[in-house]
Amino acid sequence: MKLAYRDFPSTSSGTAAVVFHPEGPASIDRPARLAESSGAVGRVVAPFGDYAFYPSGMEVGGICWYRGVPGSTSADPISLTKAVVQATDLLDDLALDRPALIGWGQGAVVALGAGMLRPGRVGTVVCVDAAPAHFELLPPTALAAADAPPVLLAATGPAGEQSVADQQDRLGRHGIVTAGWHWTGDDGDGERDKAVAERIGEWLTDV
Amino acid sequence: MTGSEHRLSLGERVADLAQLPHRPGVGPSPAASPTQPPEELDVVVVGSGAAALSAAAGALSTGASVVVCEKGPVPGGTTACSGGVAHIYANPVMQAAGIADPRDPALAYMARVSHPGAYDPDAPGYGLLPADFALLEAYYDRGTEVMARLGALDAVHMEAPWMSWDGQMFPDYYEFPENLAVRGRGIQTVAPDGGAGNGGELVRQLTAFAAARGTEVRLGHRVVDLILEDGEVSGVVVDDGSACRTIRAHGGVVFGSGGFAHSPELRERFLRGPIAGGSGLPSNTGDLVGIGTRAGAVFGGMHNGWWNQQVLEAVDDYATSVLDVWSVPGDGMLMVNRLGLRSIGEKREYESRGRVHHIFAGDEYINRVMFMVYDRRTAERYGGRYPIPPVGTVADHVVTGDGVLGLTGALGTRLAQRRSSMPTGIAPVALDANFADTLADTLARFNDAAERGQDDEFDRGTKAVEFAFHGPRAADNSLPNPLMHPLDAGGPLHAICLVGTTFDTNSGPRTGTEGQILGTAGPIGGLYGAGNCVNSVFGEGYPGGGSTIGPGMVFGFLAGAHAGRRSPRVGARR
Repeated sequence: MKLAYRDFPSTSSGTAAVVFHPEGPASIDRPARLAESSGAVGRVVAPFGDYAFYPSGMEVGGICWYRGVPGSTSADPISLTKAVVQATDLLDDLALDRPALIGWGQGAVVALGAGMLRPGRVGTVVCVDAAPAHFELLPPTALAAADAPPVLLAATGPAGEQSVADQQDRLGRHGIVTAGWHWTGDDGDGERDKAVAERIGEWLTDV
Repeated sequence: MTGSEHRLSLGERVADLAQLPHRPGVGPSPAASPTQPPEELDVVVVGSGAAALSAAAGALSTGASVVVCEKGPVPGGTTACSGGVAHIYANPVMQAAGIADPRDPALAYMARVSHPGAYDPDAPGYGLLPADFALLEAYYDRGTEVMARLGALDAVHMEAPWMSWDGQMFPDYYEFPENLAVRGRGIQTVAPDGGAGNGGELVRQLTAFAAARGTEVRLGHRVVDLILEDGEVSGVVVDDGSACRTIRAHGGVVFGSGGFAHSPELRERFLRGPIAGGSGLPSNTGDLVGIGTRAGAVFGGMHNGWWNQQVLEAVDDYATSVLDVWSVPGDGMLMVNRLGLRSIGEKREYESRGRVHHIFAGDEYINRVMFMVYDRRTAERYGGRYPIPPVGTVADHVVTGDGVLGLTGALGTRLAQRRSSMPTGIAPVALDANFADTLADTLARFNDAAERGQDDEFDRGTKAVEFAFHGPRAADNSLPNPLMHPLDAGGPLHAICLVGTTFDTNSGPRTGTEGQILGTAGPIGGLYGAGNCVNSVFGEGYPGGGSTIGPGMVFGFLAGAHAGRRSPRVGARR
């Protein structure tokens, strides 16, 4: 079954973007709007991962790409790989012109995995606030892929600088060269999203 | 689907990409290397779900040295993907809440659910085979004891009630007159925040307990054979992905591994009916079937599983564990077969819904695919509850048409597209020539029943479990039965194709009341099993949430303790 997705028609002439939401109960519209507000993207496609909002939930609570089993600090390489496979299927079916893959949290890891498995057909990958250790759970075939697209690793919050360094170090060991960016401001009034959108806009313009 | 292209099974692609060492189809393991000296300890546990880790706890409670071998890349097995509920009779949560759960009616309930063909309320042992009844007696008698021992060890505290959305304890799946305690038998572990812990938390606590006593979970370690000496089991051969080596177990070997839901060959050989696969981990390939056969185990019925439903288009996706159709959302929703007829009150729990796919009638498995039909209102109100996608979403698993005729045409097209790519075990399905007329009649009857609030055909909305799975009454539904609402058959209608699947099978060697695997002459010394790899104590039934994990934990713990005591080295250390 292919991923269900929401399709936001182009509001500008920018590159197409596929946005990969963070895990949780939140709407997938927010990352889509955030990508649009970068001013550098046109059509935005926002796939769901697994979803369920059950009233008595012992299953998926909200939307997610993969579930940590067990405990919250680890993740499951099987369901992560499944999400990456589904993401690449969607990219193949949509046949977008070198889209930007932009992911948050869990979605950032899925975006990188899909980008690595579709080199030459993805314009760039932007990972926002990924958990560094989760990159290690990507399929070895993705981590070893040649011709990685340009990758921007972005992290926000007090530990952002350390997180970016950790992410770059881990991916560097697989020969994946990345750019890094962090932001440590005060998130009052949506400043964080504004800063991230601005940086994404700059990055997409540069690459 | 964009067309009729046949995708390689997503599960196979996941296994390949993730380079899982023991995926289906990988060649046989190399012979054990004679150059490596065997490891020696008391108890080897196979698998790392609730049954296996409870076995480890039971063995550790005797002072035994224990190792846990898990062939997958992550610990926890199917338990880690679950709610972590154990179905335990007369448990401490019920006692604290003042819910009585007396022995005889509880045994009658278990007997009726587990062996409905043999059940006789007036016969000794309720008409069951004595060995089957003895297992149910042991389960009633020792369930609370094992939970208390796990708590006393500080291994895991199964003291949180499994709650429904309405603040009530979650009900059992059947309300037979024998069932005097419909609520309260489902219990979960207490999480660090004081709330109820799910399966991942249950695994975390049990692995932490084992680790604190020096027992590791060895990931990527597949037990491929047993060491048999004089008809008794004295160890295992383990393939770690690069080599095989032996481990001598002086007390015994406890299998707490998975069933065979992800072995297409074993499914085809043993299961009756159109079963499309499993929703548990892809490593559930039934390793104990071959190993137990070589050791002389006596097998029980091999046709049982924990049944559920999955979306037809998702079914190849066996590498996921969360995409079974846990509840079928919606009040303006019904399920029909290829004739256009209903087969069950649709709000029932997954087990009963899964079983309607097994019905053979009119020269065929008439419910190979069930079509979950709903209208625009239901799509808007329930979108986001899998498998109904959120509104405004492009979703290839939803078939849409204008009214009954439009939907019939769209469904026919979809089934024709899927003809060449039906999941293994599900023969191609075509709509009956009179499907549209029959569906129109079915919808008219359903809508009339919804207005009156009474489902004369399938009693929808009369059982506590239906309300627990459905959730709160929709704000715009003021009809007498909150689980039913008429469909607007004049507007767009949607359908999702569902096939019968299983969380995992629960068929394998027969076991004794302390988890000993039985041979023709009684228990096979040193060989034990609990959980989905052995014959379920509940036979063909599923009495309530936690029927998988509960017996796994109880008989796993008892088996581990029995194996630990059996080791001469443990006795010598005392």
